[in-house]
Amino acid sequence: MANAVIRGSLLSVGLAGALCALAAQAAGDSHVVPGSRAATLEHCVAPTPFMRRNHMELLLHQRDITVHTGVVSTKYSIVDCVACHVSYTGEHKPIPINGEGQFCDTCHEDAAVQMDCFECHATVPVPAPKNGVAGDPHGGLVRDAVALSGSVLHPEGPEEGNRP
Amino acid sequence: MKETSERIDQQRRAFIATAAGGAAATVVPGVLLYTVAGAEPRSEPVTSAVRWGMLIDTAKCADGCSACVTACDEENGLNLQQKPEGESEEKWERQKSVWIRKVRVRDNLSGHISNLPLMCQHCEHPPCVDVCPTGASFKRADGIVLVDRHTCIGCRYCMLACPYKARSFIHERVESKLSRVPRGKGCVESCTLCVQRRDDGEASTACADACAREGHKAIVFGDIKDSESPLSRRLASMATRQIREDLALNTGVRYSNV
Repeated sequence: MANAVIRGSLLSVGLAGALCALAAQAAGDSHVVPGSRAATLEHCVAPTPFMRRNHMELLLHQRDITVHTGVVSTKYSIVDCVACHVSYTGEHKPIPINGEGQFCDTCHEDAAVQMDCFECHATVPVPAPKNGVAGDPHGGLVRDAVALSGSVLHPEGPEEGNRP
Repeated sequence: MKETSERIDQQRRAFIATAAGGAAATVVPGVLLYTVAGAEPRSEPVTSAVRWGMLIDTAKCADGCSACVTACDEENGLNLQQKPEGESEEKWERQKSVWIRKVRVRDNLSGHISNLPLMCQHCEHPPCVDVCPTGASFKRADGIVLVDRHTCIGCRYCMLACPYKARSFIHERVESKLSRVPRGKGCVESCTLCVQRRDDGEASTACADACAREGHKAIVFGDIKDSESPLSRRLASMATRQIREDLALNTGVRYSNV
C-alpha cells in the first residue's frame, strides 16, 4: 500500500517535471524563420519576451501615429516587421509572412488569434529589395534597444482580446 | 434674400461638427515643429505650417494623354488590381479603384473643350470628413485628406458626399499590393497626394513628375502656404478656379484655363 502511494507520487512528480520541461522548451523556442534577416540578428527591436507579449500594442499605437501624423522613421513599423521576418524560397522568392509555418502563423495558429493586418498590408516586401534580401530595417536600433515607455504600454495590465 | 439663405456658413458647419461629437484635433497654436523637408523619412508630426496643393493648367493638359493616370496607378499599386473571377469587363471598369480621372469638359455654346485630370481636391472643409461616422475620413494637419483604413467600415457615405466623385471602394479581396500603399476589401480610398512620398521627403507627386516627363508640365505640386514655392507664385500670377466653387470647400487643387 505504502509502495503504491510512493510509486503514485513519484509518477505524478515525474509527469509534472516533464510538463515543465516541455513548457520551458516551448517558451525558449525561437519562432524566427531560418533564411529571414531576423534569423541573423540577436533580437528584435526590443528584447524577445517583450516583443512576444507586446508587439500588437506597439503596432496598434504606431499605426495611429503614422497614419495621422505621418511619422515614418520608427522602429515599430509593420513594413519593417515584414521586411525583416519574411523568409525566402530556394529561388530567393519571398514567402508570405502569414503563410503556413511562417513567422506570424506559427504563434497565431497556436494561440488561435486571428490577424487582420494582412487584409490590407502586403505579406512580402513589395517592391522587392534590390539585392533580394532586405537591408537592416532597424538601422542601429537593435544594438541599443532600450526599455520602452510604460506610459504608452501596459505590459502588466490585464490581457485584452483580439483586436481587429 | 435667397442669396443670403444659400450662402455657405462655415461657422455653422463647424458648430454642427462639434455638436455631432466630432473631436477635431487642433495643432497647438504658436508651436512650430515644421522643418524644411530633406530626403529623410519623417520623424516629426506634420503640422499646419504647410498645406500641400496642386495647380493644373488645363491649357497644357493634352487630349488623349494619360501619363498622370498611369503614373498614379504605378505609384499607388492601382495597376496591381485584378478583375475578380466571373466579373464582367464592364462592371470591373466601373468598380475598380481609380484615383485620377481624365475629364473632358465642353462648353456647349462655344464648343471649347478642356481636358483635365480630376482627383481628390483636398478641400479645406472636406464633406467626406463631415459625414464619416467613424472618423476614418480625416484631414491631416498638412491639408491632405486621407482615409484611415483601420477605422473605415466601408459605409461609403463619403463617396456620396464627395462632389468630385473622387473616391473608390474596394469590393473584393486584394491579392497583390505594394508595401507602401496598403489596400484591402471593404475600405474607401482616394488620392493621397502621394503621402508616402511626402513622408519620405520627396519633392513631388507621381502625376506631376509624369506630366513634366511628357513635356506638358500641366501639373504643379507644392506648398500653398509657402509664398516662395513655385506653386504659390503660379497661383498668384494667374487666374485659377476651384471646381464647384459654389460649395466653398476651398480646395487644395486649383485649375486654370477651364
